[in-house]
Amino acid sequence: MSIAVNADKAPEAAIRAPGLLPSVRTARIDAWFDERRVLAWTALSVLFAAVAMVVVVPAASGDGGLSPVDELWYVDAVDKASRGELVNTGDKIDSYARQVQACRGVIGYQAPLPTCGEPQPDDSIALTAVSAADIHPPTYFFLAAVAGKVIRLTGVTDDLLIGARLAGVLWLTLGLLAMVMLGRAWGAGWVVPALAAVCAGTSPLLVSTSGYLSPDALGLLVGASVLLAVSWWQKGRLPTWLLLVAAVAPAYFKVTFVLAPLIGAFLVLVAGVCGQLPWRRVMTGAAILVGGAGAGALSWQLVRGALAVADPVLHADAQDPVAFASFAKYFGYYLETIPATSDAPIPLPGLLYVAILPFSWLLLTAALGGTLVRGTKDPLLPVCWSAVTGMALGSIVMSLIVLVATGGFLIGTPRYGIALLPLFAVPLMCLRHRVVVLGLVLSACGALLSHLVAW
Amino acid sequence: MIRFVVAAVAALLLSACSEPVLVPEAGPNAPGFSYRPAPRSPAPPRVELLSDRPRTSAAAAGAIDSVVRQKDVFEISGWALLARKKPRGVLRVVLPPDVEASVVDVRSVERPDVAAATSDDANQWAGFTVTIEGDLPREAGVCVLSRSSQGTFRLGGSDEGLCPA
Repeated sequence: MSIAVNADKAPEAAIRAPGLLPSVRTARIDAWFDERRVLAWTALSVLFAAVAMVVVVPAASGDGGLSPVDELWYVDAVDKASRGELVNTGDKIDSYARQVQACRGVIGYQAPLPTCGEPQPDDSIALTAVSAADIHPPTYFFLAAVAGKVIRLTGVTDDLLIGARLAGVLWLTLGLLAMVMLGRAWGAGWVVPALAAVCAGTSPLLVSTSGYLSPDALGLLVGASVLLAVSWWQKGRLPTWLLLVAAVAPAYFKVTFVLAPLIGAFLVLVAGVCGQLPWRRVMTGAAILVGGAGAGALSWQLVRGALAVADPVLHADAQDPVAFASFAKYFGYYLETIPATSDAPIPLPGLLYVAILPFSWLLLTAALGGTLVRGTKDPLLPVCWSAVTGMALGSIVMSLIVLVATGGFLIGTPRYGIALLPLFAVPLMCLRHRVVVLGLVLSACGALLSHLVAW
Repeated sequence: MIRFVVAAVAALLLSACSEPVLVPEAGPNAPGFSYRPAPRSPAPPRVELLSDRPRTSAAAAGAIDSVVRQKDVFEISGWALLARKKPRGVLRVVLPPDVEASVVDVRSVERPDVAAATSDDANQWAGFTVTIEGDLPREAGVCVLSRSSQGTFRLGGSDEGLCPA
């Protein structure tokens, strides 16, 4: 059985709240673009590329230090990848990254050192200069190295760090396009998904992940792609073996991205409970998504162990005691992934936090409201339940995965929920009310303006 | 289409031949950056061990940061106002009268924090670590006096019973 979602009959018809009128103008623009899809995707690509440049270029090319979110290890991993080398467990940080840290410093933690240019001894570097980038699969580092090399070939810059950081424009543009594609797969139009994507792309968290080197830069793209695969599979448009590929692949970008196939499995289960999918298909889909995610994460750990040249270095902050309270405090933690915060002292314009607030509220309201008012036959009900569950329990599930995989207890950070952000936005993208459009326009314009003024 | 490709290739070639637009302010690839050898540490100060309490007092400058006691050996670390070049000066370590000791090792330690705090690059290598063979009782203190071209000083953290403030 497949579920047909008709974009022309927007799912917002299920919500009839007094005073919330659909925006007729938005519907007309959506209809106009529906007849010119190539133009629509081209326009969105240009818009998102421009937004991504506004967000990424100032951070990537600024004079400030390395990002405190482990960018020292990541720049070393990209440096090694550009020479065709992997970071094996126990590898030391090479000279380039040591010099970058000494000469630029680390935002919020270390000022530039007077010893810039001189050899940097091991004991002047965190973890005695042993790289911790081995914990991540090398996919992002090789992609950033290749994209950075192409950027350097154009002559924009001749610096490895700036070139690799500028590749964030590409990752963010693709991530936003995938987000819109996901929204449209669930029946959204063009205007609201575009506005929602601009809000998501300009939010503080995305600056800290896309403007600096971080495997999280691929979070939007990977998360949206996996959930898009789930949506297509539900509608019978994707063969089951490709769903398995979509379930295994996220672990090979970053282990925290396995949350995407896991929430996909939850979505399929809720669709079964609502009677929207036959149980046999539900069990097949859920088993493939959970099993694939587990197999991906497990196989990466085996590969990592095989490549090790020394014992792994444990993060000092990975030693939280395993107790009920340790998990309970992460309830609702991924609410913060929605735009409000950046979990590092990255310099950001203060107005940005205010500008992005309407987007946060709309995102949460659309998901929560959808669980309350949508009927069991509405294909968006499972999406709303999955979004709310992801916001509430995502961090707890992530901690459980790390506990099982490593025996340690991970400090939760909203950043780890980035692969779920496209799903969180789907209930909002499928609305077309005036209030929604107005709120998104305010957020998007305010966020873009604050970035431009700071630039 | 062909025109677009030709224009794109020409634009790429032109931009690749021009100066980079985004240049880092610091670090490798920044203008003026060069790899330098690590600076050699200057000669350490001379160290004298005293067991008699000095009669004259001295102004306070410098500090004893730590006295680490191990079996039959102890290590004094800190900083003092010493000369930049050899002869750098003398560190007089006053020990309790009943402690028999001899100097095993003296090392200069880089202290950019002292140079920054005193706004004087001459103090970049003001740090020292003195390793002394001997048994220093747990309750006993030490006193360190520094004498150099910068003057004579009593280091902070010195035991007042061993040298007058």
